[in-house]
Amino acid sequence: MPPGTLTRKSILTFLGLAMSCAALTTLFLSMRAVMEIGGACGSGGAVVYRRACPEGTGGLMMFSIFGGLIFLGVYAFSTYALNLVAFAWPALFISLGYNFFDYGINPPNDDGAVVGWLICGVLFFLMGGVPLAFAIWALANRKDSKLARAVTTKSLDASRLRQPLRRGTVKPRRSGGVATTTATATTDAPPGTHSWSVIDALERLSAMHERGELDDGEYEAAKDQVLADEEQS
Amino acid sequence: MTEKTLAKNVRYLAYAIHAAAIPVGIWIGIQLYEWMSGTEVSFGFR
Repeated sequence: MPPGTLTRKSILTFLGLAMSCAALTTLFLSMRAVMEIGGACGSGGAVVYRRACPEGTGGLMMFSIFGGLIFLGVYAFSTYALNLVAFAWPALFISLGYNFFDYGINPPNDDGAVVGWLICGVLFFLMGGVPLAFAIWALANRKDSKLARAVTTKSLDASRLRQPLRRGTVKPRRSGGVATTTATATTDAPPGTHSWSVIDALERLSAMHERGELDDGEYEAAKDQVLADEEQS
Repeated sequence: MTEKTLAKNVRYLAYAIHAAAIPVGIWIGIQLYEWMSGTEVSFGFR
């Protein structure tokens, strides 16, 4: 990554993530302010409302929702090496669900538990907790962090695949739900079948090489090893 | 500096930016709320 791009991405990542967190914080606090006066309010227009909204909450809510989305977009398009976008949804619902539980169990007017808020709390916790559990499970079950990251980078083009396999044209083919690659013999090489794992491994090695995680020597050695293993099998 | 080291440093920079941005963002949010609402945020159980 060129230094100029890195600087720009770093600034935008910081700005996007910080302001997304700020938006979430203001939404959390504004919701608490509204729940403190009973959970419903209104302000503005020609209508007289029974309960006016706490000062500033209208503007803060607008900033939280629209500003939060915009800054999350800035973060999503600029971040590198680490991406926390998937955690925005759980953070939103679990934090707001906490407010529902807090005020549902201990409401401001001391009338006992508010069942409606507790139901909302359960729903919000489920909406945030299930994706969070799935995200953590997926993160914990990654086979190899470097390989997993490499998978997300751009694929190796076909011309580079043909060269190392040395068995003619490589035609990826899927049949019966199992992915296979058939090497059509154009020379005296024996016909054989390559599993996708070899191609995956070559793609990952290439991506790691392009990312600078492997130098030229390491890349060539690893590639030869993969191909040698394939030849033996 | 080798390419490998450079890639590692870029990754560490990304982690540092994330680690700094989250608390700074929460602090900005609290300051913004206090300024807009004219109230003071307190921590602890209700």
